[in-house]
Amino acid sequence: MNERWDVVVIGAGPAGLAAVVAARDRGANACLVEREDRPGGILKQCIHDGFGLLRYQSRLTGPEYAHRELSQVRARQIPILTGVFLLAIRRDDRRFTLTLQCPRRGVFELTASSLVAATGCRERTARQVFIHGDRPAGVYPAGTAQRLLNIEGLLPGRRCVVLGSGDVGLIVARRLTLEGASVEGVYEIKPEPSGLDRNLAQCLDDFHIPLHLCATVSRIHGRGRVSGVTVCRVDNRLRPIADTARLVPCDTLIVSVGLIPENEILRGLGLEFDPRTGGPLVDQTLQTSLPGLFSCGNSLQVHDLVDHVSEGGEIAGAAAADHAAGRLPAIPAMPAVEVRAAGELRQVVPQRLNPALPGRVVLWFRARRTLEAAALTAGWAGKSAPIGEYASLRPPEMQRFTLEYSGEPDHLTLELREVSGDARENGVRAVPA
Amino acid sequence: MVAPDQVTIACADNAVQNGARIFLNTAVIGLDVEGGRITGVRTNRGRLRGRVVINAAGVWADRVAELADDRFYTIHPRKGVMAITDRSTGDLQRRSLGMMWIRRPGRTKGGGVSRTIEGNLLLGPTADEVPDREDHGTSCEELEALLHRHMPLNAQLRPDQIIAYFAGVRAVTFEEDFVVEESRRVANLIHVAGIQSPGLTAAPAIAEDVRDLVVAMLRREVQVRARPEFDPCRKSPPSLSGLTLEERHRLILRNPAYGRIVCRCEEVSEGEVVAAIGSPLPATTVSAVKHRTRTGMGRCQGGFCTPSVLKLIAREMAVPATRVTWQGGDSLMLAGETGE
Ligand SMILES: Cc1cc2nc3c(=O)[nH]c(=O)nc-3n(C[C@H](O)[C@H](O)[C@H](O)COP(=O)(O)OP(=O)(O)OC[C@H]3O[C@@H](n4cnc5c(N)ncnc54)[C@H](O)[C@@H]3O)c2cc1C
Ligand SMILES: Cc1cc2nc3c(=O)[nH]c(=O)nc-3n(C[C@H](O)[C@H](O)[C@H](O)COP(=O)(O)OP(=O)(O)OC[C@H]3O[C@@H](n4cnc5c(N)ncnc54)[C@H](O)[C@@H]3O)c2cc1C
Repeated sequence: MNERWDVVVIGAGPAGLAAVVAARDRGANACLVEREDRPGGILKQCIHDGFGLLRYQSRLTGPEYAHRELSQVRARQIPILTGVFLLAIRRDDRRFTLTLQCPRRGVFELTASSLVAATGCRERTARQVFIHGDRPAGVYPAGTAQRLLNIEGLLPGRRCVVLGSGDVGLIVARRLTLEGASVEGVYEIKPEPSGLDRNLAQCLDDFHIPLHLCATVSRIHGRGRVSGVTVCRVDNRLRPIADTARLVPCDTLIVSVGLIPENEILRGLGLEFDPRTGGPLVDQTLQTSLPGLFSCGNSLQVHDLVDHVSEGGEIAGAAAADHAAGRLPAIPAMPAVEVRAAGELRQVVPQRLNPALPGRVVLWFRARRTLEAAALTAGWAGKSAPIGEYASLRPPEMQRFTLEYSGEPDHLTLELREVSGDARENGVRAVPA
Repeated sequence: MVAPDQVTIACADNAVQNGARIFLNTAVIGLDVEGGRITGVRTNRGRLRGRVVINAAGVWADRVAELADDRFYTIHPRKGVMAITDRSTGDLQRRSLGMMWIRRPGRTKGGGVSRTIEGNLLLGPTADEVPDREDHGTSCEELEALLHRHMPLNAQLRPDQIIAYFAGVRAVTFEEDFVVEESRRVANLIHVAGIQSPGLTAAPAIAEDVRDLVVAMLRREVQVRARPEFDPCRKSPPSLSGLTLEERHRLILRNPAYGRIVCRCEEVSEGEVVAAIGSPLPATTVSAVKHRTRTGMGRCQGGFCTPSVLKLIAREMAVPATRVTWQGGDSLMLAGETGE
């Protein structure tokens, strides 16, 4: 039962769907492996709109966006193996061997010249942000609550508190309100919300849900079901201020405290990871430090816009096909060309450049903090060139730009600097890529 | 090293397989004592009668003794907080590490960092006297104390590797000793109380003592014979993690439900969840399924599998999902359906 493929893509979310289409269009014999029963990834449960503004110039719901991507896969008759669970990945003899299981075939193997990992992300749990107290029923990660509401048709609770102001939590707060539940408030430990502006406006303001900044849930109460939570303000070192503690009666705590790229299946392969993104280190083709293994979507870095996810999927899929066909030049044997993040930059992807591949490079970055006006420059061996100026930058909003790369063997330093308010008044605008 | 919940569950299943009945969610609220013996055990769900009554009520054992007017010991609760790290840390150490704390006799072993049989690392437990006998919650101070004391034992451990923390309460007598004896005032009552750490380790030996006490007590009234059909071996359902790939393959072809993975972090299949729900002592709550199969015990702590487990319990028990509980009683998982 050994099947040989040029490219196997793991995960049939938007990243994997785009990757497999791109791989096929470059002539590769490619397939998709998905552990759930249906393709589409997280988009299946995102029934709100706002997807596809860049890629399709229209406001689609998550399932509509997934449907468009999926129809590209279907048009090419690319096989999608659903309900298939990946048990292990081995690399020998320059090929990858995947051990999988599924109800119909039992345990079986596939081999591939190139692998694209598009496995998405998981949610950070209440325990990981050290929430204490009792352990009753009624504490749900926001994504789980969203799945219960939108896929299973089940209502997790009637009186809810939301911890964390991430996008998923904001969207779930609105969804719960629409289902007749009351959302007592959203509590965010940082002085700034972590969700996108448009979600703050459309999910909280429009529904009169209060947002409490510099505040957190310090304790959960209830022995059967949640009966309430203690909330309190925090000081500038994020420590609870005891005398601000207040009990908020509720039956549900929704936790929306961040997403973590899911790469557990790759851990044994010995590739390098970037602690800032939580994903593998990649070059401009989204190839990891293990030749033939590519990474894209939320498992590479957590995205806020699906359009960027699809674009990354295309880059990875096309390069995976080239690698399988022997067309992708290997990184020359010399110290890697690093992309270094300086100034107010929190993270940049890709983190490496392959000098054997000059040409247009797509890069994504996030700012470390909110900046009213900022300028991004690229520095090569002492020379520095402006890339763009931004009127407002917030950490939740990932930015994309492109660069012409000449194959320069020196490290590239990207620097984000805050510029004075005057510059802004002089009409400096963001340069959308 | 054993998994304490697995040992307890295995014993319970084996007891049921041999004809014992276990009434869950059934609390003893009174004991009828007439002429120096217990004639009835009153519970929230009705009255039970038995020739012999064994009081093994853990932290509540002294209260149960009092119900028979036979309280000659008191239990004071001693809480222990523990933390579990992600399985990826399991390779950091193979042995149990602990510090030799200068300690009073009778106190706990002092805790440390040990590797569980599943390959996570377990930190703790702590030992603190608390007023509440069912104080299973944790606080920031307690966790910090735990980490401060045990984290340094392995320099490679970091707080962000912790996936869960929880607490248990030991049932301690002032004598710091087990009470395993017949009542001196009630003819058919046996006390198994104050079973603090290492009570799990001691449990099989304690059970043999208690068996002898029961047999002696019964022999005063009736004939007692060994049952030839007694089977001390539990028939446990298959667990994917214990199978070779070849065995796994054959199992899935026989029963495709073992091919569908429900919990991706711990790789638990639908077949295992269904078997747990249908076990001799049925696991009918999300928490019971979790303890039997490990669904939700991994790094995502149930984020992905909870909806699936909920639906499987509802399907197998033929009840609406909105009736499924976390741990019985009023711990309902859901508030209703959407669009109501
Ligand atoms: C709740 C939420 C709301 C969002 N709202 C918006 C919005 O309004 N507008 C917008 O533009 N963007 C939005 N985004 C962002 C964007 O849609 C997501 O970032 C994007 O869908 C991620 O795509 P992905 O393919 O990387 O991951 P996913 O969609 O998560 O897909 C990953 C797939 O891989 C599968 N998989 C994982 N591991 C394995 C394995 N080992 N074997 C087999 N299969 C595996 C998973 O089952 C899943 O199907 C939102 C994201 C979330 C989470
Ligand atoms: C933090 C911690 C760490 C430990 N570490 C170890 C270790 O490393 N090694 C070791 O060997 N041991 C250890 N132990 C000790 C071990 O767990 C206990 O000794 C053991 O569980 C005691 O078993 P038990 O049956 O006496 O009581 P329990 O396990 O407490 O069982 C008592 C049962 O009685 C029920 N009950 C109570 N009142 C009533 C009532 N009125 N009606 C009906 N039912 C009632 C309770 O619900 C409970 O299910 C540890 C304990 C703790 C708390």
